[in-house]
Amino acid sequence: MIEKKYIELINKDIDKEISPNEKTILEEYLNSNAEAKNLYEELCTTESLLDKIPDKEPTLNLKKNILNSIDKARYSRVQKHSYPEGFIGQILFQTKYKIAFSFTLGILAGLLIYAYFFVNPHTINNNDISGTIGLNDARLIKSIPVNTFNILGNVNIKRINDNLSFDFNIGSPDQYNLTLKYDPDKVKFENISLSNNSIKFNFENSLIKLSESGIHKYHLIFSLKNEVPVDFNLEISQKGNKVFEQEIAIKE
Amino acid sequence: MEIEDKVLVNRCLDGDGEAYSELVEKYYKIIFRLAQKIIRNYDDSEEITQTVFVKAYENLNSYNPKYKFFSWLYRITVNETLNFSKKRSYTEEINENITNDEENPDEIYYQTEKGEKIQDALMELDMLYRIPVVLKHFLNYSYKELSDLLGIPEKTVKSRLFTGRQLLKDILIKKSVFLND
Repeated sequence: MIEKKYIELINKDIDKEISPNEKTILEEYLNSNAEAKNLYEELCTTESLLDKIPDKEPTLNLKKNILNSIDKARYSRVQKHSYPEGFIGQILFQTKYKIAFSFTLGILAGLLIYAYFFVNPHTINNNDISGTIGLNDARLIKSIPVNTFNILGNVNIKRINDNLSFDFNIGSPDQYNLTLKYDPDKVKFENISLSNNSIKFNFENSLIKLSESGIHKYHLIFSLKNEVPVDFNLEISQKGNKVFEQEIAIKE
Repeated sequence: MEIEDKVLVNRCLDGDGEAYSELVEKYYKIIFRLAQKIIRNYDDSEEITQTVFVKAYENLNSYNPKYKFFSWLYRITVNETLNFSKKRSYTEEINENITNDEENPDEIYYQTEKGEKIQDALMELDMLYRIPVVLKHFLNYSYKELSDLLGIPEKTVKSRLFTGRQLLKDILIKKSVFLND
């Protein structure tokens, strides 16, 4: 009886895959087991007999037949990739760039489709806008209160660079007339903005007249022709009577 | 040698048809003998050799230079041999003698006859065992190399080798080849 592990060692020895340590173990075992030694010798003989199988030579024509069977031009016909020089050439002809280029195009196309279907063109609407627009250089230089029998409000005068803004915020239940006199050699009337078109506005060379009732805001803009000081005269009358008058000297 | 083979392969792929002639010249006899050891039939061995080189050439661009070129050829040879063996039976074969004028004719006859008997015994082995036994003996490959070549685990290589060798021994004893040795 030969243990399985020694049969493996015998074969490993014949196959020249045995380690020195295993070889020692095997030799000791073979010396102590005649049956194992007999198997070892028979297997060694089997291996050596294989060497006696004659090596036959192929016919002289074999090589010629092989070479005649192959298409020698097979690989010479394979065109080497010749890419046009430059980035465009690489993109169009080299696989790796083609893949990257196609991927990028795909992403862009996807974004365009998404934008087309899911993003609505946004039109500006007054309702969507909130906040303030500030004029950094606007500076309040005078605030004139108006407080008569039935006219109440104020006039703020601001300087914005070389411009003067008169901001009227006056209210009255009755009709009143407002006249602002100025020196046309020193200032030039530029503009007026009215909060209500019902306000009657009249402009002369050195006079601006407004007639209104109710609570309104309006702004008068003048540009300075020369440097300050500049004088204005504000007069408010009601039912033919002067109810308010103020000299306004702008010195700054 | 390996580097030289890879250079020749690259030359082939670059369109140099002559480079393949050099590879054929280098390996066609080895491949023929290997096939002949496994299937014995002379004509079929030549046909297998031819097929191996044609297939190798046609698939040269799929050859992985990480491996030895001749190992790749051996692998194709084993596959082709198995394909042939499925078509035909190689257990019976007419003796084919190779003569050498420089040796004693009686000795040549005796040795040739013995060699044929041994190959008869080898042919009686199932392909499952015959191929590893032949490859191990004639190529002197390690278990690891055989495992890579045959695509089976090392443990299976050992098992098939041990069993194949044992079976071959029994066949040789039965054919009385041992008695004449």
